[in-house]
Amino acid sequence: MPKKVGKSVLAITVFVAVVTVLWYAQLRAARSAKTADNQGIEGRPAYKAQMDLADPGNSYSYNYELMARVISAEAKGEPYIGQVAVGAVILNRLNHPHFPNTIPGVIFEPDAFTAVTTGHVWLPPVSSSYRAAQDALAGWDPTGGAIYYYNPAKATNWWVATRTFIVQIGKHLFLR
Amino acid sequence: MKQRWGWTALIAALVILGLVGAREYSLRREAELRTENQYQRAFQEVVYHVDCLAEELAKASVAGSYPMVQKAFADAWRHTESARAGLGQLPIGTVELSTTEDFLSQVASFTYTLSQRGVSGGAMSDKEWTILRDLREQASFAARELTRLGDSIASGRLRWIDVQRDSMAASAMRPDSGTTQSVPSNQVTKGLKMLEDGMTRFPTPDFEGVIPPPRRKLPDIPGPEISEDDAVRIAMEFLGFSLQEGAKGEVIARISSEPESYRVEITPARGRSPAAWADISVRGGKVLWTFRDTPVGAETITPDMAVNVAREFLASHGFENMRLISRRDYQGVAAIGFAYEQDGVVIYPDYVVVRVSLAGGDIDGFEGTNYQIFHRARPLEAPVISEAEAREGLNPRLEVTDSRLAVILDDFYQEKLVYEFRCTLDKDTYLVYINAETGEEEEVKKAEIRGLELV
Repeated sequence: MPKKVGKSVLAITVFVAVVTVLWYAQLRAARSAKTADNQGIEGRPAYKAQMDLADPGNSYSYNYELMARVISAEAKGEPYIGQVAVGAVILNRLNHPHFPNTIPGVIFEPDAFTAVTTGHVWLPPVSSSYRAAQDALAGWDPTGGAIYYYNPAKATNWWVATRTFIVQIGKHLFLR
Repeated sequence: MKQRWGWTALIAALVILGLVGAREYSLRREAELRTENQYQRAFQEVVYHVDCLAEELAKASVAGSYPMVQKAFADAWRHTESARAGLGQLPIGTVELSTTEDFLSQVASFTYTLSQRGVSGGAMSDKEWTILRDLREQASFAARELTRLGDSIASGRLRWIDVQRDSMAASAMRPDSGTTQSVPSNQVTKGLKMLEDGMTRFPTPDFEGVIPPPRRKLPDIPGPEISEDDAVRIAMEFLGFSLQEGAKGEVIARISSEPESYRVEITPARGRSPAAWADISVRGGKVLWTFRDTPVGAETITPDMAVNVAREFLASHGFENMRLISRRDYQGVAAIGFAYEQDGVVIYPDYVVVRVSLAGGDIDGFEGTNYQIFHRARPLEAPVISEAEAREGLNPRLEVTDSRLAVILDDFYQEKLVYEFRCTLDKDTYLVYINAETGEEEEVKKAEIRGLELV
């Protein structure tokens, strides 16, 4: 075998080995990060449950931390009112017969929220999302009773586009 | 020599790559199997609970003694809620199942209402009997279809993981692209479509007056239709912005919500507070809600001071006789609830929420949709029973600290005159509502629930 070929074989081999090691290390890191995330959530004493008594005739138990996480992951680049709107959609679903009747049920319904499917929901939430969740619970609904929304610029779920349009807030279209 | 090293290293690298690949494959397979098993469990539980539901509804029709009927309804309700919970865990977001979901929600409401009837309800009315018979037939049909689907899944090669993939593919298709590609279908989507089609063929029972409606239909506000300019003017006046100071208002949408409204966006003069939004009803020109992003900053007023700010705001905006009913402080904001008070009676359905920034004491939000739609001077009947008589209906172990007359909405959205008793048990405070006409206990509420305080 000519010398040149031997050299390139060596180079390719070293390259493959380095890439393999890096890839494997990254996979392991990702996996341990994921585990740490889950432990963080389980380790918390309990979700801060509150009741929505904005309407004195009704009360709903809910999971405020989860709501804030979804709001953050789905709408952190949106105007503040758009963050409240995402919180309002979660609460509107809670009271709708076609959706589960608990906050975790609504949020973890398969493929209901992109951020849950992709795992972005487990990133640290932005602080404004907690206030937005509270505002939605206190009774503000800028969506006019929407149960769906999507961003036409980067939607992966076009099925919702067949629903009745209500209003646009920031980049999100809200529908029922 | 060099060449041999090269080959050895190449082979070693390939072996490592192969091992890593094999490990990744088995991990992925394991994760998929776990997901698959979760889906299998959720689906089999739906089948099980719908099957049990049909059985319990049949029991409720056959049983003669009241405790037996009540037990059957309570069990049916439990199975319905479990079936709904299971359905929400399946990757079937793009499958149209609204009739089936409506059915489950109506059965839940019907069985719950009848299981709670207690002694006062007595025997079922003819109407309830007819509804029960219709629901029973529909439940048996659903149970049969689901069992058949379950059998075909169990015997077939179909995995829920594949259903999940098809569902995602279906949702990714743009409806407006006019493509000829068809929605991916599989045994599960076909089976569920047959279930849904079958369910739509059953008559919808007449639930009027039997079960509470799932939500209140909000009527339109009476009055003439206002123009966009009027809406901007009303919003700016309400929020205290003025054109002279350079604030700009604009209608950014006409929203077909209940009631129909104009969304006004107000941009204040340069360098002033952030933008504000308001929804003004198209008919009657009422302010439904307003909202402004609160600037984050050090708190300069206390929540108690915020209550006074809110009170003054309401008084200066034409809301008279408003009584403080709830308080909630969070993240530098106080959301304060008020209800209308007529002749000393608290009218809970006519409530508003005022949001005050604790950093600066500005009014940052107002929510008054219910008030604007329902508020009117009501003809209030005198209570039939005296307060002392109502008090006898209370749990004698409670210590009553306060009482007053109030109007509340029941599950059917009917207004009821009640005595509201503020009571303590151990360290906690509760509100107990006794009907002022019949003496029945209507509701029990905890007065302080992690952050929200009812006053």
